Amino acid sequence: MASEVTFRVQRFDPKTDREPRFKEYRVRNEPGMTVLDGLLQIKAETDPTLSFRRSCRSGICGSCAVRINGSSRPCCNAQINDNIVGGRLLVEPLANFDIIKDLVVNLDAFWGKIRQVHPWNESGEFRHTGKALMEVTADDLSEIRKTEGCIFCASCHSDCEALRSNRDFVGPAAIVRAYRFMHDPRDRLGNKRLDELKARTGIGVWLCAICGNCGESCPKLIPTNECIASFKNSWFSENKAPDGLKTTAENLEKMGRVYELDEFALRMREKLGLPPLTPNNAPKLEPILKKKGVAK
Amino acid sequence: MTVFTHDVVIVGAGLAGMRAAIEASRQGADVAIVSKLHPVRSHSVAAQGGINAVINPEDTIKDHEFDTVKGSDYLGDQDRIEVLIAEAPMNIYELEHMGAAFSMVGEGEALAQRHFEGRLGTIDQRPFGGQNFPRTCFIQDRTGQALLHTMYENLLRQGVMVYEEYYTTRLVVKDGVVGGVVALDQRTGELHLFRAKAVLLATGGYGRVFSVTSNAMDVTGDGMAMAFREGVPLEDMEFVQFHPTGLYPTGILVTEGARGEGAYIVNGKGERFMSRYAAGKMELAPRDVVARAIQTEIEEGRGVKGRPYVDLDLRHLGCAKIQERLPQIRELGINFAAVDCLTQPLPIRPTAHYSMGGVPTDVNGASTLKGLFAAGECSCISVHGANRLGGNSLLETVVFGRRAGMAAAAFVKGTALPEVPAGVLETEKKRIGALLDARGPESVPRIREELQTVMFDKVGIYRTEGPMKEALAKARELKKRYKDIHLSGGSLVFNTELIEALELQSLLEVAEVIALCAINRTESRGSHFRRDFPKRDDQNWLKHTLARRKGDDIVLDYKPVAITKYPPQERKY
Ligand SMILES: Cc1cc2nc3c(=O)[nH]c(=O)nc-3n(C[C@H](O)[C@H](O)[C@H](O)COP(=O)(O)OP(=O)(O)OC[C@H]3O[C@@H](n4cnc5c(N)ncnc54)[C@H](O)[C@@H]3O)c2cc1C
Ligand code: SF4
Ligand code: SF4
Ligand code: FES
Repeated sequence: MASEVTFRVQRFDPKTDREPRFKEYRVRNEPGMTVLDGLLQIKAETDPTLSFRRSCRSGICGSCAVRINGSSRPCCNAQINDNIVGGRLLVEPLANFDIIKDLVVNLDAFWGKIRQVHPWNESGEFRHTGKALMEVTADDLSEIRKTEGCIFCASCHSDCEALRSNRDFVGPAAIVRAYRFMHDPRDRLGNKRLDELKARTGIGVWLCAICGNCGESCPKLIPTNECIASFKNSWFSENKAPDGLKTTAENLEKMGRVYELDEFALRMREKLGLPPLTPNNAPKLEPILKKKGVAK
Repeated sequence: MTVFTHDVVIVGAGLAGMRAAIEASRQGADVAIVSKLHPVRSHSVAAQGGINAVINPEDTIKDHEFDTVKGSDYLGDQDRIEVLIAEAPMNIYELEHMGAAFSMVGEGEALAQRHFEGRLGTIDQRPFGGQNFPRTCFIQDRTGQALLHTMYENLLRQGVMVYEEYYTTRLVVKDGVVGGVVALDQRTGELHLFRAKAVLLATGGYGRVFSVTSNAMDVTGDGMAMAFREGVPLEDMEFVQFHPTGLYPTGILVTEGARGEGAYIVNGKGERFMSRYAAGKMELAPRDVVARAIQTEIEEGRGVKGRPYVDLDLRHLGCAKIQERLPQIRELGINFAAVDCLTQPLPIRPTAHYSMGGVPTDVNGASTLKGLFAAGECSCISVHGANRLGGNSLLETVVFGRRAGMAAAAFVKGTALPEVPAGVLETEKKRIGALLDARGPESVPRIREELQTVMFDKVGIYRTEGPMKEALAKARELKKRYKDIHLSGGSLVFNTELIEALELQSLLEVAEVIALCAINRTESRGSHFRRDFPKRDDQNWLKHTLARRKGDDIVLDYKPVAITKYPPQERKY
């Protein structure tokens, strides 16, 4: 049955507005309608000045990501009925980007980061030969398959805590792309891509706060966190981690803690009635560190 | 207002446009792409099935040629089809060298059950409709996406300049020579002139002429309309392919995979009605046969719950099989129609899918206008004739994109920058400004919807003279009403209301041509099915339609089909 729902949509016109503002629209809601359908209805029937990006309306082109009730995702495959909170549905532009107009944000920085990781096979000149380069078994492709489905919707960047504090952070999507090419058996750039990524982005991947948001917002279920962790691990094993982190790792190895317990801390604990700590935790942690390749 | 100058300007950044750009740049030309979408958003991204090529030693070039010619209902030009098919294998390998990770033989199968025996490291191929050999290469179920991304990344590698989100409003022509385009930077709202020695159109198809379509919202036939307005003919515009299984109500594609796995198509009375149309093949009959059967059921009132759809029922396949073999289709139903195919049938109806017609070109992409090239779905070479074979259009984008890029680069060598008409940018600015100031009583969305509905209902799957004439009259009336549209004005920054108004001009232009060409072709061939002329008529109609604008009129002309090896036979499956 058709019902009505309120769309609360963030608007911003650079020519007339200093600050974004909100406008509410009533939308006829039929079963099966998506949030994009709702926006299209508003544009066609109520307010033609509302701007948003859309193209395929089938969840594959990556154009239409917005924040729905605070979480980022493409809106063309989001059912209205799954996203109503208190009779309303809040639609805002992606965060961590500048707004061009209404729900349209400037993605130049996003694309720039993708470009930074050399997202192509450095397998030399491509030529017309009667042969595939890929002289591999299908098993070698599983890492590519896990990651190549990214649709560049930028939802992960919008929800990223590290980007919120530092917009220069390379961001999960570019890391995923780098991962895809590093695991391509035809690629010859290998770790050079990784090193350059670090050189160009300062602290690079280490800025990631491991908040997990990127994995949660990804509409294509890309294991973003796994990719990020794998980069961190390989840098670590090549002894290329930032100094601060190396010290942390050494501390862990030595005493099973990230930093040394000083007198003050111990006295504070006593004062607060907390149980005493064993000074050395290392034996308990050792097996874990070994398994993760942090300790030798 | 800036004037940019390049050797070659390519309009469109789908597979065809980007492939052309890479090639022209590799040949040393200064190339720029102007595209209304970011390249990665182009509609090529939506192709799922795959791309055809003869790469298995057991397959033959001749078979691929014949399947294509037969599929085209003998309207495809055989000399061009020969080029398409001969160059297919090297283009597949080239894509693979560029970085596409094609699905490989044995991938995804448990080690013990692998069927590849000695074919390790070979690109896998799947069977596709209308072909007698499994020759469709694929990348899982996202072939278009993976190829488009690969192409984009190679474009970056090649360092080609891309003007992203620039809407091209017109071609610039003087004394029968193309000298560039005018485009609107959507981000700033500024209009710019792009001068060039060659312009290459790669703007895709015109699916949005119809109310139900599998095509993206931006597939509005802009390039064809632009060329047509400058007196360039359009070829075979009456041929529009309908896919039988679009999700109701939007028309999003439900892939053939579902029927391949054994799904039933059932009408409102619970009948598996395909038994009345193709008892032998049932649901697996060719696309056009299934599409017409579904449409008949709907038109004769046997839709489900009296509505214009029938059911695609998968329930008898069982939860396990659906979850294992068709997870994407289940996801599609849940996300886009709130229907879980484990417990409910999916509502489907035929959907406009592919535009066979377009700007006529030679085998190197050159059009009849000096300096103008075209490639991809917006062109008509013609390799698809009256009906495209699944998997042949992605192939067309790379084979002829590459050729057109090469030819454009060769063309600009030694060519001087053509003159452009004086004040062309100012004139265009005035035109856009007037549109922005339009305050009439008519609405763009309403005109668009009326157009799309009448075209789908009357120039769609079934065609008859009377209704088609009504549709043509309606299209012309809507064109008049367009003069009184209303826009909100305001700033030009990402003014999508203005863009939609411009796109509607293209739709109106193209729709009129489609209707006129369809009325004139008094036979049935391939996708063009006339109830009043249900037979193919080679005597009178084995020829291509050419439509050309002459002032307010459109004149039709015809040209012969190139037949080399395969004389016309009846098309039976
Ligand atoms: C759902 C679906 C599935 C498909 N599956 C298959 C398949 O399995 N196998 C197969 O072979 N084919 C398939 N096809 C067909 C195939 O995908 C298309 O024919 C092909 O991708 C078209 O590519 P193109 O480069 O010509 O155009 P597009 O990819 O549509 O690109 C058009 C470009 O032109 C630009 N443009 C348009 N107008 C303007 C303007 N005014 N100004 C500036 N830029 C403009 C756009 O921004 C875009 O970049 C499928 C089609 C659909 C709809
Ligand atoms: S896990 Fe890291 S990369 Fe992902 S969203 Fe959080 S901070 Fe960003
Ligand atoms: S990783 Fe996922 S969320 Fe991020 S851009 Fe790609 S598809 Fe979108
Ligand atoms: S419109 Fe393409 S992903 Fe939503």
